[in-house]
Amino acid sequence: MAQTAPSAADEAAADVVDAAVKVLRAYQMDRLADIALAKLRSDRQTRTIVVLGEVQRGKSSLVNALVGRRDLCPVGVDVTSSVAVSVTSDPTLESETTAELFFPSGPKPVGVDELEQWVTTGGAKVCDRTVDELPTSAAIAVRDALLPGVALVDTPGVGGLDIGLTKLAEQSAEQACVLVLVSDASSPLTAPEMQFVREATATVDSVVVVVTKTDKHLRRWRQIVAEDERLLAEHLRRKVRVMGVSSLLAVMAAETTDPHIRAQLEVDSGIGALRRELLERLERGAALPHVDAVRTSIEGLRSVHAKVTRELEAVEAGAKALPDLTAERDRLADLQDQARQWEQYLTRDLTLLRQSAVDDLERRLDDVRDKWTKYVNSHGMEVLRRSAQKFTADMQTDLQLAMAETLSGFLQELHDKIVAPRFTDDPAVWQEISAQIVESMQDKRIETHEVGHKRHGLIDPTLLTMGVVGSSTLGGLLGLTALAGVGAIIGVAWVGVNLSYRAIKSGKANLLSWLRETISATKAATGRLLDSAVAQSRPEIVIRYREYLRISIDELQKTITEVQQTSAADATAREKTTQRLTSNLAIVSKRIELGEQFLAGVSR
Amino acid sequence: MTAPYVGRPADAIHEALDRGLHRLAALGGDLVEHANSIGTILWSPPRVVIVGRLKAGKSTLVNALIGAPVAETAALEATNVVTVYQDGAPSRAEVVGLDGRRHHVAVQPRQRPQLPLPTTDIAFVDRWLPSAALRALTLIDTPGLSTLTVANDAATRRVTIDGFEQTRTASVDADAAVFMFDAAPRRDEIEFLSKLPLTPLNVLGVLSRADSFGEGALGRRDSLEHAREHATRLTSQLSESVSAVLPISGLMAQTSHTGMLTEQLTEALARLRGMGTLDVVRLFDGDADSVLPVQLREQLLGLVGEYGVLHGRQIATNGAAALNHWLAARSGIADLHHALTASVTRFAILHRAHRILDRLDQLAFSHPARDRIRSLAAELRTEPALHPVAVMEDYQRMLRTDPLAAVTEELRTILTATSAAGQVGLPADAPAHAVNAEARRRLGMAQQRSLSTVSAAEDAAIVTLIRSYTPLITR
Repeated sequence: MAQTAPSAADEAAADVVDAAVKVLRAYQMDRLADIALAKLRSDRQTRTIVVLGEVQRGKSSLVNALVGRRDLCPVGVDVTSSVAVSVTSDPTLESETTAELFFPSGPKPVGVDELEQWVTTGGAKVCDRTVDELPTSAAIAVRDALLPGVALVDTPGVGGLDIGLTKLAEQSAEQACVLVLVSDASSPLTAPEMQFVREATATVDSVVVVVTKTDKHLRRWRQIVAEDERLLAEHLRRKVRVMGVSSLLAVMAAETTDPHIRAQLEVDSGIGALRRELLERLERGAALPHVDAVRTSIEGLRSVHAKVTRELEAVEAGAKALPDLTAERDRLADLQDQARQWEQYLTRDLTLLRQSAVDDLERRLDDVRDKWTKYVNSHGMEVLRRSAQKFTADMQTDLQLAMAETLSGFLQELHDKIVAPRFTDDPAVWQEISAQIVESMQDKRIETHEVGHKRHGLIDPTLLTMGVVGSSTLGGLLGLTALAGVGAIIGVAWVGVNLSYRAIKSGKANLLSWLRETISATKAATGRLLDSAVAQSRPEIVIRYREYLRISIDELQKTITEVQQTSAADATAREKTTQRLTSNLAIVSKRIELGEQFLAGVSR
Repeated sequence: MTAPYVGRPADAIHEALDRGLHRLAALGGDLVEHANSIGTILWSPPRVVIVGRLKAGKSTLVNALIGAPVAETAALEATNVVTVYQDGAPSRAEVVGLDGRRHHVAVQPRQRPQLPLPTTDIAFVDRWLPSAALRALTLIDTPGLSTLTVANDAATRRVTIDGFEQTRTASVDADAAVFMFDAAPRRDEIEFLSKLPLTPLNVLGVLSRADSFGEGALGRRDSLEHAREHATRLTSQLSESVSAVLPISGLMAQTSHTGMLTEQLTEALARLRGMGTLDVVRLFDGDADSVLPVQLREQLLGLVGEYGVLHGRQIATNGAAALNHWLAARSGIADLHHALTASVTRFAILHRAHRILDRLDQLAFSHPARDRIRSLAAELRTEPALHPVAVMEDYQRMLRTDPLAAVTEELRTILTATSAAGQVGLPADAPAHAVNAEARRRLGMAQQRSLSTVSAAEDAAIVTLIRSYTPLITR
């Protein structure tokens, strides 16, 4: 039952799409109509709350308090999270909770009670030197949560505040995302915290500062909240919301069976107010799948509009239009005949595209390599050894970003330079081709065992896996980078790096050579993904283009016939056709306008 | 001014150093002045620096140890200069600038003194007040590490690290440290600690805010008990940095040791007995004035904290003296006092002796009479009474060069031993022949090792070990 009630915005979007779909079907654009409806029905996009803060500020406790489960994420006086843990709700779960660990070689399910061994700095598995690989992130799903439909991400306490995490949030800007900076009530914001809010507010609009442990600082926490607000206003010259929360009172509220006491504790703890604030902020950035459905509908309507306009112009021009129409029909018919020629052009264009994508990738990966080489040289091995798990995850994120940006760029170019010019009137073609490309990349994880093979004995045979996952499955999980296509997220890129702990231990020279090899393996693997995308899209485009030519010729023929008929018929009949087309055009324009109004309202 | 050197007799170490300084003064010329200047170190109590991150409760602890609310402890304004608290009358303060110049500061009771310099130009503040506690130890309160202002952090590091080796005139030499943290000390704090020129033997860890440890006063388990258990675990985890970790509720200690608890407040607290825990929380956090006026609530929270309010309500019914006694007993301050005077002070005295010998060595480098000073220093080092100082110096050097060497461990054993048998790692009641045999064995090992040492520090340490074991055999 934990579904959210559809909001007013959702209903407005549904009206716009339904109206558009009727028009699209009338013009035999069933495929696009189906896509728009599917988008409308799709789950609300992942709404994410990322909880960040310095070590021992109570990030995990706050996540537990927001979910309403005292011991969900491992907490304790000497427990520090070492990787990001996301908590999502899934009302269809058989059991109360399930947990999944994301290893470089792929995800594995574990019991929630086992989580602490894998995701905390002192965890038994994390400290066990015989364990081959460690997860770089984890996910917990709970059956009923107090924040339904929201993915909460508890970020690791090791390594302090990391601005890289906000970059991820920015990257997946298609997601609704709120950052929660956790500070505590014993002291005002520290210099690194202030710096973090400064950088985060530059990229993400929604940042809430939460002052935790108010139950340990009764009354006095209000002074701290006021002081933090003052400091933020002074340093950032803008108002940032600061809220006091007692995670302890909040979980006590969740545990009590007395509804009166619970209501009172929700108020006393400040958790109720925080939940409302977060949901409200998410709501503001929500509605995106519906926006996407409306966008798709409008695209379809525009192409209908263009078609009807052409037809109308032809009818009005009468016999005078016939030579142009016939010439266009003949051009298309020629194209149809000279299939081999344009197929060659297509192959050439795709090859060029792939090449520029590979160049782009090399540049990005070289940047990543330079960044980490510099990091290793300037910070020294000690820093890396200390939090090898987090270092691995950070590096993985960089590789992912490089890969996702390259693939996104590739898809964008494919659309702009190849698909859009060829299929001007049919946006549905791109929707389908892109979906198929992403599907072809899915489950085609490229595993390379090549990294480090030259140094057997010194470096573990390292495994590098990468691939693309459909956006619905893991989209909310931080650490996976959204692969933005044209208009929306169409997939999520992921790279698993098994940073050999032995490589870290065995010294700088080895780590650096390992880094070089890992990056060249990433290059090779991404190159193969691009190859598969090209291989997949080429026949797809060929087939669609043939079909597109056939349909376009048929339509042109139909218009020519109609023009011939109307010009032969009397003035009344011609008037009637013109009137019909004009009124159709008005209807389509009206619906486009409605859609645009809706979009304008959302972006406001 | 060239006054004759005057010493004061104390323990054997003190006497040996005192004699040495007399001999230095006897060399005449400006060495009398030097002897006096070095002598001030000998005459003043060992210096204990209190370090920790911002708001770790350093000033609260200083107040509790001194027994008077002298250090600043406002919620938002923590100490931002290093302050040296020492015994002396009348109560007064002097600000020492980075240039070494001293400025007198007027001190009024219950008032923040106006500082004559911007805090960034201040090396430290010398504060004298008549206090029995300060007769045994000089306390140095520091600003917190890692705060919003970078200047605060720099001030602490300058005084405790650079203060030793570089800017000696503006330095505050410390003989021991109390390292305060809540929950887990951060890595940078441990690093900071390892850079202090001290050994784990004269560094005491304090788990502060024990009364709000873990989930705090409202948690599933008693926070003081939880803190005690955690401190035991930390003691073994941090054995390379501190001699022990003790849980302290600075707030409860401060309140019970500075006489701030009144009958009126105790009576107010007693009014809350029998109320539900959550009702008490709501009463204190809320605005309603029904049971207790807001001013009393704030005072109570400020004096005894959430733990004191929730757990002290029943005890308050027996009056202020009973509540005060309970606060003192639960605060853990007695254990801290004991640890400071029993073991930390012992090693602090050795450290102070080391500082004096160090000054003599320095003088031997710079003074025209360097040969005589050098032989004086060498003779002093061979005095049996000063032998533990040599052991400590070697231990400190070995900790830096090879902390895991067998030699390092043996030095530590000798340093911490309280009996002859203890020096060779045997129980105090071990029979003389066993001690003799074990000392012989260790001596043999040391002599063997002297053939294959890997560092100059180890060379010196082995000589010291041989000197330590030899008298145990001839006994």
